[in-house]
Amino acid sequence: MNEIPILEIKNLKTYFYQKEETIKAVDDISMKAFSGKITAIVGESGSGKSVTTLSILRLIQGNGKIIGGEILLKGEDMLKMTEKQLCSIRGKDISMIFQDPSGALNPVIKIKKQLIEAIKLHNKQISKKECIEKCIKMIKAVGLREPEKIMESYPFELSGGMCQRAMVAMALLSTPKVLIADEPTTSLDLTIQAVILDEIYKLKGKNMAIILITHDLSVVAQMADDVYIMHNGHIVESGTVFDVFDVPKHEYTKSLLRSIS
Amino acid sequence: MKKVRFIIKRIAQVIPMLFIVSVLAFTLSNLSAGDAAAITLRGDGVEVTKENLEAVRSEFGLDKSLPEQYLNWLKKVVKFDFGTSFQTKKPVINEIARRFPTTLKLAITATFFSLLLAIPIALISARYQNRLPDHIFRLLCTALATMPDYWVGLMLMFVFAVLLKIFPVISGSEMKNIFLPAITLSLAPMATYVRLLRNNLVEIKGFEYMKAARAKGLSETMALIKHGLKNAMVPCLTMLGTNFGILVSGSFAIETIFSWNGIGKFAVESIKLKDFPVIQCYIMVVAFTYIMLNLALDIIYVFIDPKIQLD
Repeated sequence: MNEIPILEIKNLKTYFYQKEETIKAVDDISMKAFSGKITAIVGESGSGKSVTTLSILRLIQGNGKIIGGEILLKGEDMLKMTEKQLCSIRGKDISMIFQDPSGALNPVIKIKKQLIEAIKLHNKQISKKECIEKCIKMIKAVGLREPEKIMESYPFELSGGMCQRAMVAMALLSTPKVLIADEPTTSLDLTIQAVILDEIYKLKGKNMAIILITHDLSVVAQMADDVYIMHNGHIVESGTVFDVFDVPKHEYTKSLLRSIS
Repeated sequence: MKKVRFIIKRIAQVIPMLFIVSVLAFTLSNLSAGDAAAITLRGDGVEVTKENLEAVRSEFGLDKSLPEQYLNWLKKVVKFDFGTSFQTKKPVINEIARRFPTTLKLAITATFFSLLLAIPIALISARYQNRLPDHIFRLLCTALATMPDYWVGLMLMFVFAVLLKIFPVISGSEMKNIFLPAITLSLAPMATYVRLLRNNLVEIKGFEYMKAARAKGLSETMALIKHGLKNAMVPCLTMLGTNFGILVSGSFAIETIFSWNGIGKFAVESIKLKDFPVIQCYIMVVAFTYIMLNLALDIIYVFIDPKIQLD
């Protein structure tokens, strides 16, 4: 691992302050993501995976706060950026696919408008015609048929799998350098899970750095290059997939692996 | 196609509704206490004798049975003939037609003001949730929702017409003087819209699609405007319809204070004088407007919320 990571997290701490106690959702974690590689973050629910991804995008809300560390995108610390700079990074350099596709699309806006918005936000000069062409091309690229019909649909008129593909298309429209997929298949049927994962796997070849959040170790074994095991807000073990799966060192990793074999 | 069928179906439902309203308008006004013939006679300064009473009754058809009276009335009503006002001795429809647009103007302007104020205030409150702007607006809205409109009207008039002399004290139903009465009527509905919109927006803020909108690169404010507002507006429309219904029936107090010659003032005066034709026409016109408005809202819903069931 001597290349330069596109995204590097150093000693990140995200805490949630509640009335009495402080919840250390993410406590001092460090990780790296490389272009053309899939980096998996694995852990049970509540282990801090999703908070990590939201921290990367600086979208922690409410009583949560990033209290320390660095998030380096191409060597630049995102924690020191202004909100305006962050807005120009979100959706352009770093895109995200969410866990629940039908919840992540706005129910009262047509897919077309939501897709066009993703382009226009980061490319104001682009003409409407070009925009639509780009959307149609991308919808086809994620394996959906009848792109024109999809564009004119509202999210509730599409199936979960179609919504998730539309979500993937939306995330890819600006050709991001980093793609975060937060449990992209958890809420989908088994058959569609494999298809969506396949679409994500293909992106690896396009020199994109993919951060895959999951609790499914079999998915990790099939797809990931590097893996980080999270437990209680800490990274308990990390390395290449082969290292971690063949010789798990930490007791938690061992129990995780036992649970699926 | 489905939408067109839905709209046609909704329009067809208006007819039975109007029929029910007409029955209610006629019977309820007749059920109220007091003898209309006697009041009319006294109003004209004529002695109330048996002969005089009978003469008035037969003149206005009051000597017939109620169902008969209703049918006679309905036959004329479908031709927009609501009879002659007992007090002014002029065709009721002309009297109402003269005053109703004045009230309608006021109602539309007041609704426009209330939305114009409520949307940005709700957005700011939701954006700065539980911070100073939110607290200030919450306090303000609670105050506005509880203050009686006639008091607010008098205070506004005192400040802007008497002290600052920006507006005339007597508005004389003129469009250029509509600002004060319209603002007065807009404040209480505005306060309720703000609270509803703000709470909806705050709830929506936590939804996944708002996070997704932020992840696309929208700022928090833009995400609220572009992805939150439309969703938050849907429940407000119902309330808008109800409030507008209240406004088109005219506000006696506000129309009196600002000498705005509208339908509310006229209706209250007619009720005092038991001027049945006017009361009946008033109920019909207000009910018709209310039904049409709700019809319009139903149709708007179809376009705002695609998930609405059309069957």
